[in-house]
Amino acid sequence: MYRGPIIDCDVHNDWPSPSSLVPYLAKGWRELVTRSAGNYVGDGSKGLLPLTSSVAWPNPNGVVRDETWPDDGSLPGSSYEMLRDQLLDPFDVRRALLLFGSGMGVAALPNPYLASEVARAANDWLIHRWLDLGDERLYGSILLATQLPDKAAEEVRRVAGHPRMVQALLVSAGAGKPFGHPAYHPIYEACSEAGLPIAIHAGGEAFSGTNLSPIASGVPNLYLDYHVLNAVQGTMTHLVSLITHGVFEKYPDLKVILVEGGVAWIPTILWRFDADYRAVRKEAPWLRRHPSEYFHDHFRVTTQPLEVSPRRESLIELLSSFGAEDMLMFASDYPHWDTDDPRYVGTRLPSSWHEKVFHDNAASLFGWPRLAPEEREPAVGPAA
Amino acid sequence: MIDAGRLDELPDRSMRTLEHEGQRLGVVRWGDEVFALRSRCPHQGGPLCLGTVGPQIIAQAGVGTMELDADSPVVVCPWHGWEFDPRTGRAVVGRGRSGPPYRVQTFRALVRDGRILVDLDG
Repeated sequence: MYRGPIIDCDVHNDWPSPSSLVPYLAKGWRELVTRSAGNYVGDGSKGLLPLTSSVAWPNPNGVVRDETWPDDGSLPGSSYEMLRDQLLDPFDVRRALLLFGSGMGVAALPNPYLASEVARAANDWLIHRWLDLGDERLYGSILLATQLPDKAAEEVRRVAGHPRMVQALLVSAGAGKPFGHPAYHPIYEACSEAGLPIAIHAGGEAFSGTNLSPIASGVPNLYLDYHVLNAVQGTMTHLVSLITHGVFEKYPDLKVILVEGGVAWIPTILWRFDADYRAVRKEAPWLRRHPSEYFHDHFRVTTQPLEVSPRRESLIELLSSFGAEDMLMFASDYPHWDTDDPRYVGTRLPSSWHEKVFHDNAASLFGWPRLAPEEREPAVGPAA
Repeated sequence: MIDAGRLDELPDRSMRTLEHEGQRLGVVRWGDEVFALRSRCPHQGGPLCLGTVGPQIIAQAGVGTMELDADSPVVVCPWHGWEFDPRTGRAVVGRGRSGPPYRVQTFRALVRDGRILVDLDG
């Protein structure tokens, strides 16, 4: 039974409404986005252009947990008090990585210049509205508009000095190519210089405006199609692309966190990747190691949504095959509908992994000291 | 020792196969050197030495570049493209974290009086 502190690597904080971001925009952009008489884009409301793109496939149940809606109608994840009372306090989450909510759609905006400005404003908003609250448990991600990688690299350099902005966040592949492509390398160079890991949050191809199919082989029709496939396929693509393009040869200290892309598929892709590498190594002679070796040394993976295998042992066997004990980092995905409760995750993973998955692996990656357990009732339930 | 033919009948940077007592071998000429290896890929048993031989492609100058290492011959299996160093038998791609150490059997080869000789016990 795990009694220790938790580091949550995927918490979606949001602004109360998109208009909250307007004061953080530069004056020219503020003027541009606030003078609309209405559009058939976004919520169609008069006065404000959409500042981010949105997912085109609606979940019939909604993509957030109902109890996370603030009473005043603000967006779920926008209330610090609710986040504290529903997540941080009850589960002893002592460090929470904030990855934005609707802001994740910024790299899918068709207008790359607006996107860069919105990302910059969003980062200032995050620092001001969340990290300045004084709750030492909160850490930020640098939101990047990947449409213009050079601008995104500038943004990394602008914000990286903030002690609580601890990772760069990539969601949509704004340049229309997988994240290993050299177009994005300025971002990795900036992150390497700053010593920041990159978090790739799954699902970015599903935001309208990317002009990418969110799944391979065609556009999905139902939310069910989309949700089963999108996060997994997109994450697979980025993983393979980052390795084949030699990103870790160019930036040997760079670390990448795969967020919300699933975990059980990883070993089979690595098996395939290693075998294919033997066959066509000559096409990427800059690689000096097996793909699985790059993966092991440069990637970390968040747990949510942990696959629901009919037999618990099946999942553990798959995860063990790629050394997941040292690579998995707990994530709740609060306040989204498929949030994983840490008590549930504890029952699915071996108890001998708990300290590492709930705390140590993330602490090691971010260079944080080990936190001592508090005297409290255990939040994470029994497991074999 | 078995006789694998005249050196001057084997063009530089090429490979020929021969069969001896049911075992198929490959003989590689690389400049003035000759190498011999078993023509059976340790991956799936493919006819390794019916593949190609050439210099190893490397990327000395970094990601996105491609050069030839003229001093490193590579035999490429015709089935799955796996590459082997005929001098050592080792796969160009090593075993990684936990894979098997794929290696093809090699034999001592030499040139004497203009003929290529292979020592199947060496």
